[in-house]
Amino acid sequence: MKIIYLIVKYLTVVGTFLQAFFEHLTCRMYNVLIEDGRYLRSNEMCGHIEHELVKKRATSFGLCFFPFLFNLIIGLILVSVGSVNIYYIGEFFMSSKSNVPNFANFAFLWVGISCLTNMFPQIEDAMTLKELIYGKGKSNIFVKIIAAPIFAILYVGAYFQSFGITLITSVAFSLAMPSILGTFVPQLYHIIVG
Amino acid sequence: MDDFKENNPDEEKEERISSTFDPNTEEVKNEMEELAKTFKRELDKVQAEVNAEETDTEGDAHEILIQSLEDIPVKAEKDEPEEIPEDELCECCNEKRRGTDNNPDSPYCNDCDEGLRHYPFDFLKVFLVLVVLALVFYSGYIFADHMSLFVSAQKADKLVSQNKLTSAIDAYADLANTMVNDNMGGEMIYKKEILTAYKMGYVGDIADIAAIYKSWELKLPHLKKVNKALLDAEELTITAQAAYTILSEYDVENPKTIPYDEALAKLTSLETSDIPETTAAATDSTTATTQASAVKAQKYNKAMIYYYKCSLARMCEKDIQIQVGFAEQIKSEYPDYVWLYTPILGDLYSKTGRDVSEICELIRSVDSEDYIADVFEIQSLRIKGEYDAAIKRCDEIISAGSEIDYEIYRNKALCYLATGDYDSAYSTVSKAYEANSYSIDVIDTFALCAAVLGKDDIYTQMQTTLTDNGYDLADSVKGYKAGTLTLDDILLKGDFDV
Repeated sequence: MKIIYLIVKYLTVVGTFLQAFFEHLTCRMYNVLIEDGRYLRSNEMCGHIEHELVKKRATSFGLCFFPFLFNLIIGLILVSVGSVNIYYIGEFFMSSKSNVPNFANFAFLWVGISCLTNMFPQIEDAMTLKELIYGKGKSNIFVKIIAAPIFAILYVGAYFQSFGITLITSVAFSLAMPSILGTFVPQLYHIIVG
Repeated sequence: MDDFKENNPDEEKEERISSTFDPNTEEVKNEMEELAKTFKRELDKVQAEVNAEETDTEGDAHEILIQSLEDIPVKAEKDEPEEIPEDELCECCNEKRRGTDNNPDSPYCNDCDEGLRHYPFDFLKVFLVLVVLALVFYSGYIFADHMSLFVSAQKADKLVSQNKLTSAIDAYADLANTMVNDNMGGEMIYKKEILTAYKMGYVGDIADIAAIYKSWELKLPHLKKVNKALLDAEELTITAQAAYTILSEYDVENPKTIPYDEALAKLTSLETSDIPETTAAATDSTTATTQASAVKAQKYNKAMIYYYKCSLARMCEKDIQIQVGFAEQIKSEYPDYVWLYTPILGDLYSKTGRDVSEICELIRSVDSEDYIADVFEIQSLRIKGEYDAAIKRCDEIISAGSEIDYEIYRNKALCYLATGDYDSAYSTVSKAYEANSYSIDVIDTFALCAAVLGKDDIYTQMQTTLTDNGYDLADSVKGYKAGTLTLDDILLKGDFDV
């Protein structure tokens, strides 16, 4: 499984790099001690930052959530543009008579899928968060309920990511993206343009 | 003073010894020299041992160093660091003792702990992230630029999903024009346009639209349907050309002179024939401008052969069941060619009094905007003699806003003619003529109504309109005017129409 994980990580190297960068940034933000700051190591820490064990709940949540959020935003924007231009409109070439591929459109799609593939935290961080939120006597019931949806996404995503399954889900999502956009973009466009 | 001495006996003793010890005596001098020699001898002995041990291991040397440093303890403390066991060294610098002020159990020293909490960013990493962010902003610009195209394409797709293919094909054509103006290659939109046109039976148009594709692209999986549609269109076109060539050998202006069996046998022979190279080459020349000409037809299309057999039977005025038989053959063997067999079956079913609702539903299931289904419904009711129902249905369709209201008005006028309400028929057909003055059927019907009411000027005007454009009034209209035919002959027999 480690081989598959690494293959997926290197296939989506841009997303891997960005995730590690945002983890690094979040560690700096929360003053978390970084034990190994290399982004692209050829082990299970590829795309992650090795940091000290976090003992604060807010810090643990931030370490899991903010890299996820940043990669999600970048991934959604790029996948939207890439999937519309490639899958929906079919703008494969620079012009109707050109033989030169439209590299920008393919780059949008690839980087977007890469970001969506690598947005979840590493499984250890997710388990730390679980312990800090759902451990015995760690949080009140209100926090547990409020955090449940996002925690579920982060935890399941981290699990999928550890097996490289998020590449499949990201590609599937990018294929569905034009249909998803079609449900609200035309209305939004008419409201804005009139 | 005496009291003090009494209280300090040691001082009293020392005073007594000093009073008896004289360092300048010979005895004392000898003793001191003896002591110096002894000390010198012992010192030399120790130094000799030290020199001998210096050749031994480093550890021993270190020990000696420590031993010698112990001789001058104050100076040693100032020059050398405190010795830290290896398992207590900082994991990062390996120099200082691990543990910080806040966390004595930390594997790092104070300085390293502080440094690792502010792990620096490389310039290259920051630069790469900035490049990605620039890509995000550029993608936003591209998205905004393509927004109107996306919205229009979504609108066309929605029309397709609602089975409004007539409107959808117009929407796709507008999109294609926009893309041509922007010099943009939206291949997936062209694909949708081609498939929609193919579904509607516009097989002559799709090769031109497919000119956008490179020949190698048509072999890729995402254009598999386009490739199939192009191949089908090519086969249909070549078959139509071959069938037309066969029929053009006969005098189609005089259908009674056509040897039906001979012509039918020639059409049937196409089913097992291969396409001659010359035919394929000729077809290529007509589509030479397209990359889609890479698609080569391998055989004649049977559906199109059946269609021409049906047309031949119709020309030769064979029994209507023979015509229905050919059309139903297309339906059973090529159910997807709705555009090919439904117009024939709808017309034949209505003329034979059969139920056309199934055919109408079939037409609407493909294209809900196809007016011909409405026409078949009205025509069927009219031929069955249910004129009130036919007029009511006409009104419903007109009030709903039909794009082919001229044909609906014309059929309504025929109903009025059949019921003897000639004035209503004339006013109704006038509306049809206002809606579309180019339809030959409308002009013929208008001329018939004018002839019925004795409006010769209108009749002449209609006749002139057609003759000026190379046509003539229908034989049935001219027959009525000449008095050789009655309205019943026209509306209740034969084609049940002008």
